[in-house]
Amino acid sequence: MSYCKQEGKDRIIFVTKEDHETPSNAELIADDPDDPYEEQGLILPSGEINWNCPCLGGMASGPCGSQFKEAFSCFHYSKEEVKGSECIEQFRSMQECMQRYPDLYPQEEDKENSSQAESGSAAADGSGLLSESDSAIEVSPDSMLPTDSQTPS
Amino acid sequence: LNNARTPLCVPVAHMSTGPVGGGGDNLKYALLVGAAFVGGITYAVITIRGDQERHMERMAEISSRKQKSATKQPATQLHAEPHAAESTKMEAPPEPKPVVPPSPEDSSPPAEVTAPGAETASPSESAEPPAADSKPASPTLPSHAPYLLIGGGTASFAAARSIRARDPGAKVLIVTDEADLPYMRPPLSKELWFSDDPSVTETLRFKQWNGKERSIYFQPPSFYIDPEDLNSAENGGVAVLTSRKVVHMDVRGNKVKLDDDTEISYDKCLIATGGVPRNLQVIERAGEEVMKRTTLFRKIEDFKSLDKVSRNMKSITIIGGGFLGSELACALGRRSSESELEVIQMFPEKGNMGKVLPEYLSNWTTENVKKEGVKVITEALVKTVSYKDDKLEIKLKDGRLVKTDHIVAAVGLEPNVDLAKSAGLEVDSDFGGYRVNAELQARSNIWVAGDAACFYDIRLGRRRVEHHDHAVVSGRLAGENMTGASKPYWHQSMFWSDLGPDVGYEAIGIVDSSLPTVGVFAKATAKDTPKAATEESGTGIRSESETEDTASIAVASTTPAPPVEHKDKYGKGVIFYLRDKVVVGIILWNVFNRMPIARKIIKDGEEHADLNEVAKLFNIHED
Repeated sequence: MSYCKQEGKDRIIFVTKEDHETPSNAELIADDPDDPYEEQGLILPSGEINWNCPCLGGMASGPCGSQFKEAFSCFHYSKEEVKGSECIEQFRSMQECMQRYPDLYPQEEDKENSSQAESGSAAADGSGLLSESDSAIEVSPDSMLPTDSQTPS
Repeated sequence: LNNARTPLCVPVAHMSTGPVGGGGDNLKYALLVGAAFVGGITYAVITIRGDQERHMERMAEISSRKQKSATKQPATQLHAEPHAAESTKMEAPPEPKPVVPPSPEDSSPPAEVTAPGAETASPSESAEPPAADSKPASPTLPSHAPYLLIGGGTASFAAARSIRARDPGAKVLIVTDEADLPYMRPPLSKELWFSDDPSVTETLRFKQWNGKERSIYFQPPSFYIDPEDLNSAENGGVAVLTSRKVVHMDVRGNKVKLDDDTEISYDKCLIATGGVPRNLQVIERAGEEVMKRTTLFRKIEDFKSLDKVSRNMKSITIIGGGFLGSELACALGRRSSESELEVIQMFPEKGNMGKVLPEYLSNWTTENVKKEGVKVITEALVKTVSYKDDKLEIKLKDGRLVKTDHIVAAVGLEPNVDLAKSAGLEVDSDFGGYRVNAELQARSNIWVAGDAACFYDIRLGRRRVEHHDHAVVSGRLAGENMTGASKPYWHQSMFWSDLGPDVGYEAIGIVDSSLPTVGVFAKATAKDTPKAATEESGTGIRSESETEDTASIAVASTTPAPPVEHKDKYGKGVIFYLRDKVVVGIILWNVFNRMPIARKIIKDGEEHADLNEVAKLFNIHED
């Protein structure tokens, strides 16, 4: 059972695991997914890509930002059966750009891009694509904050 | 009668051949005016031709001078050096010499370019040979930047990234008085000190939570483009102008002036000038010998010099008991275990983080800091500091005397509002910093973010925050608003601190020890430390059974009996800070990865009857 004490204006409660096992009756206000003030995830409520998503790291803002945006937009809006299959050109030009900046985009992406090119559907949505590039590209999707990536936005 | 009048009527001078006397005068006037006109035009033409010749001479002279200086100093790229701290610091002294002579000349070409009103930077720039490696002459710099960011720290970088993401092809110019490209500060007082790499002061690389190593620089130099290439860059980019200070801001004219008299106009401007470490008056008055042995810690160069001091000196005293002071004390304390170094920390409060943590927690933290090898002197008010017998003598108001070799002053930050006067911007008298609205705007086209911004937080009221995540959040928001978003400060920023391997916490909102608090704690297991959270160690759950023993004893008596004195009394938990019964701040004490819940509670701003119920949401007993 919990016990508590008061030290001046500060209250201290000690709780056991059992004390906290019963579900909380604290009421939280329901979130509005379309709240314009909130930080948006990768895909905006309108269906557009949020280029400013922290999850993208520096991909959309670096020297190859425009190539990246074109490639990814093409993929995102692709209606082909094999999603993104018509976007080979854009991905190639993105890869060419990235090869010019090896310390920004470490060259592990050869295997990443080949898997993208052949399947064209890295995942049903774009986030799968990004998690691949996330792991391959070390520096660019750097979190400015150590816990950035842990905070779902 | 006629005879008498005739001699008087004789005309004195008849110059005109016109019928009446008036006509003759008219012609005189006409000739005089004509002559004056012709003379004036002739003079004007001669003067302008002379000026043009002088201008061409000067331009030729400058370009020839640039060629000479270019050959003298091939590696003059101030901003493109990867570890700019070292190399540009050494270049900085030679730099002023070539810069000073051209400066009177430099002011005229830009003036002549802007005088006709045409903002075309290209004429003056194309007149110069595209000397990619020579920097001193300002004519090669852009005279206009669509996005001008003053200051090159975290907030500025976050804004640059945000702008580039939202405005395709945006051209962003960052002007910073530091010699370094944008970097993150937290590792300077934490991770960099715990690195095993002996060359860490050069590489400035550290290991993150996820085990991956990274540099403190947000991006390597190849991410940025040269300022001279900014205007011609097809897809835009981010350019950083280092070692230049903005000294004057003309809000009406939408332009700024640098310390070398260069003028840069802008469409949108961000002020992210951060701040300067405060010093103690007693140290400032103590003379040069004391000042020489005092570090005001903030930048990369301070980290490097303190690292050196810690290896060469026998005793370091840190004055200040807040975040920076305590983190540095723990970092140096850890080092003292491997060497002879004595680490002392002194501050006026009763315990470490006394202004942040409730007293019981502050005391517990102090004990932990002591365990890191730090001699903590609480309730210490410094009266005088003097230099005697090759030692610094710190005399406290209560008479205690402390002798040491070096002082680190961590007594707060003075926000940098130097531009307020010339820009006519408001400065907040309560919190300091530039006063901005909820959307971080000071005036049309001017935003402020980071440490220097005193902003209106819709939920928590007007405040100024000096933390890394706030710099990121506010910088990103400013960048969004500079590209047309009009969003208020809404996503609450957080902060964190690790004081050694056993004490780590994350916090959000207003965390002020003068507010009433409610703390909900579980007994800590060995797993609940920042060290364990990163290492995922599975050491024995020694305290769990003890928790239950203690709890059952407590239930037996009706009045709260003090529990068995375990040293891990406040192992992990959640502390709520209340203002008018609403939670305005939360600390997650040795409990990690729960920040979104905390953020939600603050955002709701509700009155909760039982905070223990709210605490359940955090699952503090789990990992």
